[in-house]
Amino acid sequence: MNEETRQAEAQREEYLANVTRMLRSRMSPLESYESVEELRAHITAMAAAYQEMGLEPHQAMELALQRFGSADTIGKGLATASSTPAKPRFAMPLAVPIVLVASTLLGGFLMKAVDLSFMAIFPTTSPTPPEVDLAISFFVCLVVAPVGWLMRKRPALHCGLLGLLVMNGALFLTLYRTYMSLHRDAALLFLVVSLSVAIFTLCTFASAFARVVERRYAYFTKFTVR
Amino acid sequence: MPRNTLQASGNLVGLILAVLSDESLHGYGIAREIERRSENALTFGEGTLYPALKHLESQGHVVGHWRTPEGPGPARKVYEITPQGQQELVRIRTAWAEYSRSIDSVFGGHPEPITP
Repeated sequence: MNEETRQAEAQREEYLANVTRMLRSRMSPLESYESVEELRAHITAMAAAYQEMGLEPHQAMELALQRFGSADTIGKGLATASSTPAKPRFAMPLAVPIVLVASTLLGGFLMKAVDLSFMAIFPTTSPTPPEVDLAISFFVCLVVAPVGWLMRKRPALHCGLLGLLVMNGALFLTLYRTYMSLHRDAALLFLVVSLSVAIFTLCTFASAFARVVERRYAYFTKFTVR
Repeated sequence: MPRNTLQASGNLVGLILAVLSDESLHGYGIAREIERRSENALTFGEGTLYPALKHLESQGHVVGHWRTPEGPGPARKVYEITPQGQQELVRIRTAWAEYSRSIDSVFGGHPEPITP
């Protein structure tokens, strides 16, 4: 594949990425993938026809994209025509505090599990002081996450989010230890409630993970002949 | 005399159904057929076919099936018109005939330009 063809393909993929961005919130991953594949095939056929007329690959692709129409217009049109209703606007502000609370409690349980495992393996070791957990998670969250965000590197961003989780967990553990020494029964009730929320959070993450798997699987699925 | 190109965007749904009533085609094929039948007189952003096709699919006027070609090339989604789509096409054709009759009556049957 020569440089011109690569350039032409890059133009096409940038165009399709702009369309995909408009479809994310309105279509399932599979529906979005199928729509983009249709557009890709059409644009490629148009560019090939222009190349047969004598245009260079990047000129043919430029003309094809021009004649195809604006990515914004087509993306919005597809999103509007999609059968999936738009997510209600109020869900977003509601989701933020729920996710923060759930991630705090989940982080607390993770920290407790790590503490107990460590003490089981090394019986003479005392539990990690919460200050050490806080220091480590601060570093991960406050340093790595912004760098990852600026560089748009997903693994670094995930590390940052994990750090936030750990920090929340460390805070939770400190509160729990202080509280439990004063009111044991109330602390046990609090533990049961927070365990339920943590399980709910895990289910939410599992569901999000399943959507990622569905998108990846759809990419490699062969379309059946009817 | 230079040919005027007309915007097809307002009548895209009718054009798509008219093409599909004769044969099942994918999006690129529909665009080429509209171009051929109109002798290149009708212009539209070819990408706008896809929101129209999606709308027709959601209304049940067309159905799309993915087909893998026998030779090299990607799988393509081919659309075919449904009986409901045929009824919609008849409705659109009737509405268009009435509309063009009204326009013709205003123009008063003078196809040549009036010179001062």
